[in-house]
Amino acid sequence: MMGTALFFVFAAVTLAAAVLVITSRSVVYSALFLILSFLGVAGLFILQGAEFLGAVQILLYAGSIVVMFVFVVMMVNLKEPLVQQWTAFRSVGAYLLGGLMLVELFWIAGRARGWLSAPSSGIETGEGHVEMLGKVIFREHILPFELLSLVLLTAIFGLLVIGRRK
Amino acid sequence: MTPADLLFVLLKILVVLLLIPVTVGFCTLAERKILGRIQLRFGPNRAGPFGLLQWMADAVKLITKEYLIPGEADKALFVIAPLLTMVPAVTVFALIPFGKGMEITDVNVGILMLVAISSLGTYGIIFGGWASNSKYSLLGGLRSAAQMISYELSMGLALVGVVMMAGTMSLVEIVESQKGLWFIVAQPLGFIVFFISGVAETNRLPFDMPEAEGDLGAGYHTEYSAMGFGLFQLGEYSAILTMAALMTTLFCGGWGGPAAAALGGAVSLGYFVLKTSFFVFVFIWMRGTLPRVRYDQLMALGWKVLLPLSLLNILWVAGYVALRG
Repeated sequence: MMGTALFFVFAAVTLAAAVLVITSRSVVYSALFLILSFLGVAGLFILQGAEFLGAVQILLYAGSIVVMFVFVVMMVNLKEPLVQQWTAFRSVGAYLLGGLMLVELFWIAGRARGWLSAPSSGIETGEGHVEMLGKVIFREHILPFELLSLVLLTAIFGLLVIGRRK
Repeated sequence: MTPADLLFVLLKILVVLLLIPVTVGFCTLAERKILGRIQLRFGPNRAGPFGLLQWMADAVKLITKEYLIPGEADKALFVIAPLLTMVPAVTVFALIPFGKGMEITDVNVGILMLVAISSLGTYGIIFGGWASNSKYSLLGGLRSAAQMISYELSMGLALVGVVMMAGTMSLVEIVESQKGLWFIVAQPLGFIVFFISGVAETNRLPFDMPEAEGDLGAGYHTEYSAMGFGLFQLGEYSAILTMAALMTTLFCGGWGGPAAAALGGAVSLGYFVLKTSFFVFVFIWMRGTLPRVRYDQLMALGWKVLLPLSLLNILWVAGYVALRG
C-alpha cells in the first residue's frame, strides 16, 4: 500500500524532472533536474529492494557524472539560452524517432509483465544481496566484466592522446 | 509496518533532527573557544556563563537579519543552494549507529548509501557559487567540485578496506565486527587516507580551498548573508560531525568500549559521543595549527599520494584477511 504510493511519487518525480531537463532554458537548471531525475530512479530501485543499485545510482550518476557536467557547463558560461536551430525536417525527424522509441518502450514493458504489477521476486532483498551480485559478476560473468575494464582503459588512453596533442 | 512502528521511527527522526542544530551550535562554540585558547585569547565569554549561550545569540542574529539576494543573482537557485548543502549532511545521520541498538535504520549497503548521500552535498556549494553571479563565488564552487571529485576516490578506496575486513556494508555490523580489534589498529594506513580525505571532503583547513579568505574572499558564500549563510554553516558543521562519527564508527569501534555491549544504552552512547567529540576536537585543532595548502599541492596530494596509498591499503587488508582465514 505504502510502497505503491511511494512508487507513484518517485515515478512522477522522475518523469517530471526528466521533462524539465529538456525544456529548461538554462543548462545549469537542466543539470539540476537531471540530478532530481536520477534520485527518483534511485528511489524506484530502493523500492524494488535493490538497495545496492539505488546507492550506486546516487553515487555514480547523481553524484559523480553530473558533477562533471556541471563543471564543464560552468566553465563555458552559457548565460544566453542555446540558439534553437530547428528546421522543419529536424522536428519531424525528432518526433518520428521519439515516437518510435516510445512504441518500443511500451512494447517491452507490455511483454515483460502486466501493467504496474507489484514487484514479485527476482531481486533478493536483505542479507546477501551484495554478496549475490559479487558472485554473479566475479564468478559467472568474469570475462565480460574484465573486458569492460579494457574498454575503460582504452578510453583513458584516448583521453591522454587527445589531451597531449597540444 | 504497523502504525506504532511508523510512529516510533518518526519519533526517532524527530529527536535526531532536533539534536543536530543544537550539537552544531555547541560545535561552533567549541571551535571559537578552542581556537581562542590556541591563539592565547579567551574566546567568547559574554553570553551566559563562560559564553555557553553564544551559539544561541549567533543563531538569533542569523535568523533575524535581512536575507539579501544580489540583483544579478539567479534568485531561485540562490535560495535553494544552501538547502542542497544542508539536507544531505543531515540525512546521513539516519544511518549512523549512535549506540547499541540506537540507529534510525540499518541499511545493508549502509556505507555505500552514506558516501552516496554525502557526495550530493557538493552541489549546494557549486550551485551557490554559480547562482551568486560573482567571480569569487564561482571560483570557490569550481574548486569545490574539483576537490570533491579528487578526494572521493581515495576515500571510497579506503572504505573498501573496511568493507573487506568487516565482510559487510552495514554500519551496525561493522561496529560489531570491531569487538576484538579496532580497524584503526588493523589498517592504520586506511585510517590515515580516510582521515585526510575526510578533512578535504568537508572543506576544512588545511584544505579549505573553496572558501579561502585570502584569495577568494570567502569563496562560494561571499554573497550570502543571514540564514542563507547560516544554512551553509549548518551544513558544513553537520558534515564535520558526520565525518567524526564515521571515523568513530568505521575505524574506532563505534559505540564499543569496556562493558558497552553488556550495559548497552546510555553507556554505549557515551563511548560514541566521547570518541566523536575527540575527532571534532582534532578538526578544530588542525584549523588552529596548520596553514592552508596551495591548490596544486592539494591536487598532487590527492592523486599522487593518497590514491596509491589507498590501493596499498587494499593490498594489505587482502593479505590480512587471507592469512586470518
